Amino acid sequence: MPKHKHTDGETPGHWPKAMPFRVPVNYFPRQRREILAAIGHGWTTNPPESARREIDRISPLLGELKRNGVNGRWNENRPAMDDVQTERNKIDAADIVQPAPVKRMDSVRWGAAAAAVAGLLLMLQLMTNRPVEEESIAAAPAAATTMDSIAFSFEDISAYLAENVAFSSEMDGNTTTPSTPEQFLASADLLAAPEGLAKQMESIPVYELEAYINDVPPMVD
Amino acid sequence: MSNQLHDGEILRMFGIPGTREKAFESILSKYQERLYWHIRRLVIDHEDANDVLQNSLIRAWKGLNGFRQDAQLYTWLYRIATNESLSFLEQKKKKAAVRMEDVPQWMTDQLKAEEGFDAEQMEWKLQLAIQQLPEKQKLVFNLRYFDEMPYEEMSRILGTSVGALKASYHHAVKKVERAMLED
Repeated sequence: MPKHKHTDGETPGHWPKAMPFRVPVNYFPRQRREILAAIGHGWTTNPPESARREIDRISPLLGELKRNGVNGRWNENRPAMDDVQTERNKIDAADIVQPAPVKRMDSVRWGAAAAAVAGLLLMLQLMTNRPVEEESIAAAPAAATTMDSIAFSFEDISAYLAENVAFSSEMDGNTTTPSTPEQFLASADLLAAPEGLAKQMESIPVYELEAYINDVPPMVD
Repeated sequence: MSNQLHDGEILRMFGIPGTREKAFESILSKYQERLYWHIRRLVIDHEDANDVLQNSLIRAWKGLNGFRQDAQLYTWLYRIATNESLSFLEQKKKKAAVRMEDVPQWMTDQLKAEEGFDAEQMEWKLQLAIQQLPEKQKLVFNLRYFDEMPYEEMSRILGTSVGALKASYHHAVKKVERAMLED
């Protein structure tokens, strides 16, 4: 936009033609601002100097470097925020957003827990007269990675947990609902599960089970 | 960038338990890269920068409920990241038993150990020159030159007056320029 072309009085640094009087260019900034404010120009504060103009003024060399793309991000070809990193951040973010960190259990305890859960599932199915899908259980591949692969859905587990907690409470007269997997398993005395089932249950991703029992969304592995 | 949420909206969402995680994810996607490079320019090493960034974000998560909004969100995040970086550097210096007067050389050595270091490239030359600055000037230089942060925001981050920051920046720029021309 050419100089002295403004008529709206909005753009700082230029005088609208329709100004009732001209203010000397070298007038002190504060007085100039006051005058402009008084005549309704609206430019009542000095616009902050941009970082780019400032560096050009202080050091043309560094200003030139900046224009040529020197940005303080070295090694960008070795990506600092590459995919791996982004993935890692996602996981870390998931860690962060859990207000109460989930207590990790070692593999031995998880094996015992898995065996116990399997045993209880069988018990539940026997109690509810639902035929055990033996074939599914027996044929579950060693590399099975989901609950579905051993023919139990999360709905089954959910129902089982709900019923079993009540069942164990009735049995030992303890009305307190167990709040941790350890408490839950201890109260139900479930550790005598068949060994074969324990092996199969090892294929369940532990974080899913852990997440389910702790009532938190499963974390991405 | 256009589909990023405004800070006000993010903070509103963070106050609601159901949208809290989404709000924090928005903060991550909006600011984590900038924060990462701010931290990295201070601690130099990529892995260190990652650790400090994680600590900063954990602090932000814990403290966001108490954020009073009398500063901008990114100013507040920068402040956390800056404090975390300086604390980290202090600990690292202690562990390495680096004397005060040896700090610039120690930082320079770390920079030279970076993968792909090439003293002939302007980016590296500039970084080497920056490592010669005192800590405060280095911070001011980084925030103004690279992040183009307004002095008013810097003042909130560093707890220094705008006038002092302008003077610091001026000195820092002159020192960096001299170092590059001497090289």
